[in-house]
Amino acid sequence: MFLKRQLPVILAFVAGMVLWAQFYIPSHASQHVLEVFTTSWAIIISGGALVLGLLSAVHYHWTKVALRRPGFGFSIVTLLTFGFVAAAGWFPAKPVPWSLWVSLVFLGIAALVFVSYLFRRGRDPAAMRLLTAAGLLASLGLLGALVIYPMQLKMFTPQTIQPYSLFDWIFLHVFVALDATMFSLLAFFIASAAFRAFRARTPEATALLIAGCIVMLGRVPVGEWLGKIPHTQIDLPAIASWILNEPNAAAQRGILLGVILSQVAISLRIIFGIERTYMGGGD
Amino acid sequence: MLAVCAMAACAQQPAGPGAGIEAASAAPATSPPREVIPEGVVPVPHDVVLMDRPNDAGSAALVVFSMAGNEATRIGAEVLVDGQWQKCVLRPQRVDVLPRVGKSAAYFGWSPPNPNDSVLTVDRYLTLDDHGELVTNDLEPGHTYAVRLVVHQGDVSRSFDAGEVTLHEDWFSTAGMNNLVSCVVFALIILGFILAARRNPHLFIRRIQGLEAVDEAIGRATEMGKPVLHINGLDPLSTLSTLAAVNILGRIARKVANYDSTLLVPCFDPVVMTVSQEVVRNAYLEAGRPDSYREDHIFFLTDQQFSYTASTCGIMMRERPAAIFLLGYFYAESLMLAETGNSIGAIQIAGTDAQAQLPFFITTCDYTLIGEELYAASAYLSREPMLLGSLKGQDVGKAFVMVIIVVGTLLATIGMFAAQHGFGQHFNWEWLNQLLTPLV
Repeated sequence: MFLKRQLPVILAFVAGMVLWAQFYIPSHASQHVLEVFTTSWAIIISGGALVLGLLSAVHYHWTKVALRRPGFGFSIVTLLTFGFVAAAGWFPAKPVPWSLWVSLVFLGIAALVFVSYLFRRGRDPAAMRLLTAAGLLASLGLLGALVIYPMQLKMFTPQTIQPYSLFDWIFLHVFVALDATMFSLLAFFIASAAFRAFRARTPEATALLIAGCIVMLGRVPVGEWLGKIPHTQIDLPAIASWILNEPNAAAQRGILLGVILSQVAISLRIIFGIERTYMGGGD
Repeated sequence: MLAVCAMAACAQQPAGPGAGIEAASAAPATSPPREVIPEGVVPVPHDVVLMDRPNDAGSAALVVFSMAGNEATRIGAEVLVDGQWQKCVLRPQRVDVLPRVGKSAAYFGWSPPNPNDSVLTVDRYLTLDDHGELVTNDLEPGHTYAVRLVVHQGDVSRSFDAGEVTLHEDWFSTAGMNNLVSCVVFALIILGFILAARRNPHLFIRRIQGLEAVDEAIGRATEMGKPVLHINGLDPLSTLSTLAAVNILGRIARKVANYDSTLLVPCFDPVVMTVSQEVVRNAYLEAGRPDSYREDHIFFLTDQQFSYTASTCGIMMRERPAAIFLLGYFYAESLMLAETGNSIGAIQIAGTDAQAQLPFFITTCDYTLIGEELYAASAYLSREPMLLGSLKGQDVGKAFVMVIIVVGTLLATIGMFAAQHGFGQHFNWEWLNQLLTPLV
């Protein structure tokens, strides 16, 4: 119970107080404490959690495929892409080292043994023993080659993605393009949401509609052009700027002030162990 | 610590490392008018003060000076290291755009004696390594450095000694004093209300519609036999809004467990996923339904923004959840998620402190928790007296800040009015100045 209840609260209190005090101490020692907390520890925890995340993602899609849930075809594509991109990360742009070819040969042998094992299961004990031995040897060879390979490529030293590698090509020509496509869909979503928001059903919605139209017109060349029509004297850009800088900014600052005070309050609740839901501990 | 130095030299010479200091010229008693510099004349810095920068780790010195200058006047600095004058990293800067003493309250307080003096920060210097490459070096605490200013006017440059300074590490930042005082006052108010709430648990808290609708949304999902979808935003757990979202997830999970409905939590961050699994598991345990908990319902999708959006929208279209909670910090994907949820007819309750995304949520969701309401949600849903007490204290703190804003606005208005009409100049305001200076 101490490890599950009290210890997390004590850790949260100590970490919270240390980092709070650190804010007021500008010395090098204090900066070092911040670096340890925010860079070293955070990176270690994130690295460990990433493995859990990957396992979770693979498990989620694998279960979907296994149970033939709706949309399991997308999960098959996801799993195949996951495997392909992970494998692509091992292919360098430079000449391929011998260990990669060796590992591929052992991988092929292991796959053949696995398939043979499936077909011969329960039939011939002598052949099964032979297959098991061959499978073990292939696995060991594969493991050895996979250890030598990153050493040959000096992968254990800090490095970035190699340009002109297969992984780089996939990132630039597949991922970036798909990402940009998704982002560009936002324009249509905004049009749809704006249509819904600007229907003048209530006085508030009407005010929003008028303000929205003025700001939109004031931000495009047509707005400036309208001000130049003789006898109109309409300076739409100035009105748009006023709406943005005065009432809009005032409302945003009000929200921001409330948010900041709430953040202080929730920080205090966490530091003093009053709020413990995030630890899974309930009240 | 303060090394005040009069100008020693001002003979014309080419600029560059190792440039010497030449003949002195007497500084006039009053500063010459700014921006009026005769052709070919290099302006002279006056009233030069070299000081250790306050409130830092002993990593910089400040040179304060007064000098005429126009857009063609540039000023740089050099430090003496191992007998060699080394250029500081900072490029020669325009004198007329340098920071002013009066605008640097963190170093000089609100009412410095010469608010129009310029401030030049010296924190690094350049050296050449064995391969002839430029290397940036930081100034170090405990060392004494001689500094000189280098003034450039067109093609002509001059050096002026600024003196010597020893850098010290500070163990308390007086610039943070106002923050510390307000933080302690605010903390005391909140803790006071928490204690008050223990004695009197019946505190009045204003009704928040979005949170009142949580039960209705989960109930509707249960009746329709459809799942509840919860999204914790796209920020890591170190962001407070994510922490608030995870807190609310715990409350929602308990209600979902009580109704024996299904809860789906696609996560953007593996750490958030791990914590969410723990929170939901305990919520099911506390609700007495540990057997209903499914760990694979709280899963990691991806940590790429639009890949996550596409995947979550796909889940919405396939699983057709009847209730969607969008809580935490969101970016451009907020509208895509909320519009997709809207298109499948789900009850949507959103909450974020991302101001830019609030209009999208207000437009597309049934209920929106605006800013602080997100942080109040956990306390509001739990109805636990101590948490409600902190909420009440937070409101009082807000009222306190509102009073300060109104008083400050009034004082600023009166100050402008008094300056225009000459009121108040016969009164001695120094006592107020002395009272407020330690707080800034």
